Amino acid sequence: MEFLKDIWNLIKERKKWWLIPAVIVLFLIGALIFLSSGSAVAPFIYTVF
Amino acid sequence: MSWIKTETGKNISVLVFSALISLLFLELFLRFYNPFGFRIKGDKILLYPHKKYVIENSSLKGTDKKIIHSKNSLGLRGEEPPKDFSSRLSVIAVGGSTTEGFYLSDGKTWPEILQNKLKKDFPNIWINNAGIDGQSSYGHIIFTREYLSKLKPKIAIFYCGLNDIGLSAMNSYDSFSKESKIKKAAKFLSKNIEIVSCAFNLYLYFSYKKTGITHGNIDFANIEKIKVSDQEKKEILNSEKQNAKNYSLRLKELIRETRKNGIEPVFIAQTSLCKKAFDLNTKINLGEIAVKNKFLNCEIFGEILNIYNREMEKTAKEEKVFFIDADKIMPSNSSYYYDLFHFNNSGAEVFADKIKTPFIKFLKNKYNN
Repeated sequence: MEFLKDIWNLIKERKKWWLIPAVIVLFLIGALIFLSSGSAVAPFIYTVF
Repeated sequence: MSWIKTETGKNISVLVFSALISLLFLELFLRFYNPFGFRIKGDKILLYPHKKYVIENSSLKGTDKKIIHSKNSLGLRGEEPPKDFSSRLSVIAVGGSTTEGFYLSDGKTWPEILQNKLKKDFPNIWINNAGIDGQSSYGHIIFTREYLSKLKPKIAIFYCGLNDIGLSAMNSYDSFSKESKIKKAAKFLSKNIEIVSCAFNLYLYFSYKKTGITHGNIDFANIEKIKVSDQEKKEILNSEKQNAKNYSLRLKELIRETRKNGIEPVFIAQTSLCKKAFDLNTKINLGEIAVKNKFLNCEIFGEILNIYNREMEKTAKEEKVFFIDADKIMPSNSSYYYDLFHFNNSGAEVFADKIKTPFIKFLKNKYNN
């Protein structure tokens, strides 16, 4: 959480708002890799048709 | 356009540009590496040949601690298709999660067990499990058109009903949006853009989760009970009667599609622990158990499922399709399930054993063995 706070402070202080989408996407990709490394992602494979 | 030259305008432009680049990067990433393995893209069903899932399991009772779930070269569960396929008694079991048995190890799902049990009477039998979690009869129609029509097995067993409950429209897309233009756009975007496909699949997943029929362990020691008034019950059952009529239309379409391709359909009515009965294992009154996010109880859910099962029976009779009522022959015993709907290892074994006798009767009549 400290790390995320630091990034947020950096964006806020330097007004680099354009970094927000890039940070969100990197966060999403990180979450995907983390989830797929275990079986935690398994429940999401179930889809309806 | 002079606002672009202002400080705020510049910031907004850079932000939009950054958002587009980031989305493009995410799209590329998902195209090369998509850990979800969703089963739907646009209006297509995706199979994953040779896919292997290894699941460390500590919660689902009666299943293996280490679950190994593999798909063969067809993307189905079971033995590889034999070289002499056309001369074999080939059977594909189609259904939803209760057929696929995602949390059952290889060889322990009911179609695979059924094959082993039938080998004595029919040495040339080959059965594969084409169950896909969450798939309704609409999905079965698509699956038949896309895959079964090419594979052309001799028989297709359809074990369905549960995923059709509450499906007022033809499919999920229809219930997602009644506007055909939006529906078409959603299908197109979902088919061509990976981010949209992921978002749509997640939307479907969470919508489905609301129905309360996804996987989970049931703790009979701390069961939640619910009573539903007669008026509520009447309203629920009436609305489902119309949905069940649409189910019948889908089943008829399924029969047309299979027979058109020289495949003989067999229908099996869905069973579950949801019924007005006492559990043979815990002696609990199953009818009082809360389901569907505590909106219904098992007694009513069982009655709804029975409406669908009767529609299936009626359709089978009209179209001369062999029908097995699994709900009548499976005992109400929680030791065969890890939740209210999904078989554990011993449940799949018992289920295969129960349907074996009527299925042998059908095979002997049909193939004069």
